[in-house]
Amino acid sequence: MKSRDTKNRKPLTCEDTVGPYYPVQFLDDDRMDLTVLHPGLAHRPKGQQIVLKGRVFDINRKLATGVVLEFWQADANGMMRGPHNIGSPALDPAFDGFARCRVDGKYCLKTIMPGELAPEVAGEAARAPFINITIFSDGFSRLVTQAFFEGQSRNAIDPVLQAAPEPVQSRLVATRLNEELDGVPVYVFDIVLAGDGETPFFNDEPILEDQA
Amino acid sequence: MSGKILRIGPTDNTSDERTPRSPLLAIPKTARRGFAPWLNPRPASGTGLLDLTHIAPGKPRAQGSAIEVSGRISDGYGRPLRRAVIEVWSANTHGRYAHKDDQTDYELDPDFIGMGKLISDDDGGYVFHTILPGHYIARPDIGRWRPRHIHFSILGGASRLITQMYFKGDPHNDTDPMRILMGDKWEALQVGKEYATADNTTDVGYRFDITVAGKDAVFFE
Ligand SMILES: [Fe+2]
Repeated sequence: MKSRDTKNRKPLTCEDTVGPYYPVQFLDDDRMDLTVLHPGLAHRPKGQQIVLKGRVFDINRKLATGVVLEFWQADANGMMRGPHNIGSPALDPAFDGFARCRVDGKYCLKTIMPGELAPEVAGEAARAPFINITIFSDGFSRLVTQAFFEGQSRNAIDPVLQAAPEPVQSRLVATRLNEELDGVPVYVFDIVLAGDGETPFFNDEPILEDQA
Repeated sequence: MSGKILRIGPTDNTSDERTPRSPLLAIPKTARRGFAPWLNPRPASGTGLLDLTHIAPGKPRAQGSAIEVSGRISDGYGRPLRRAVIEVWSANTHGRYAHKDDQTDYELDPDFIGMGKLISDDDGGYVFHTILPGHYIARPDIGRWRPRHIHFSILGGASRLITQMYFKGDPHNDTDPMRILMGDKWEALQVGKEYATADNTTDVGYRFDITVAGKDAVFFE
């Protein structure tokens, strides 16, 4: 055990399942359209508008009902909001990058293509464009994965995408459809929670485990 | 490197269908940022105590035993999580959720919704009033119960946590699949600690302190 482990003294509260009854009214519907910060605003974020849509399957390839999905991404400049860049003029003020929904296995997010995340914090690698997806559901506590985009040159050197074994890497890459939706490119990213074609998920538990 | 394998909740059908079978992948140290949303602290709501025991002013108090729930949210170093969004939801005294997807036969209380949001204060503290939730049978086919519990979602800083607070003495505690998965940590970390409340608005108080981790270690160094 390294010294950092002992600094983290308090035992963490256990994650628990969200259950089947996450209150629908906690979610604002407009949280699934990041191309406008608020429906009443005329301002639009910079960048190429895209649609990211897909389905969430269980082990039997049935749609998983009552799942809560959260999305988190950088703006078109590759700036992802964090405590280290509060007030940075490089942040797009018309974009906050956080969306969520509770769906019966099908989601559709209107957003902008995230920029390539530039290293802002010491030791960080440059990243291919990605959208982080967190999944809460009855049956497990929390899963996280990241969706990449077909045709992005940096995919080949992205450390997270490359952390997945080669045979399953393509499951982390959203494919572009031939047709568009209202003139906006559409990407498809299906999530398979378990079994054949299972989506790779990541262990983002903090500190104790991965610093040991 | 061997990854963590998630365990399947015993006797939980959904868990069997939805739990990944492959080990979770390790995240390279150079790319830890971005796995949990970082949200700006919300402005203090200033709306006073969240009281779920009344559906609206002037309406009768919800059925069951009124309780106070309070605690403090901090990170592993004890630093307060200020102005985090806390969402709470639970069943009514009969074990029924006021949720469209709860199709059970348990009685609906017209004076209880049991869902609310509040904001932690500058010390990470929170307090709300609600009704002691009932336990309910989640899988009648195999006789599996859920003991009394209140769901909590914490959104703020670089953390993202969904958890549940449990109550001592519920006959269904020991057979609960989530409690079994948590093992020894359950009693110390997940059970509300009883206290006497100052006035008689509520029957009893439960203290539930929550410790979150920065899911993104970058922000916590
Ligand atoms: Fe529940």
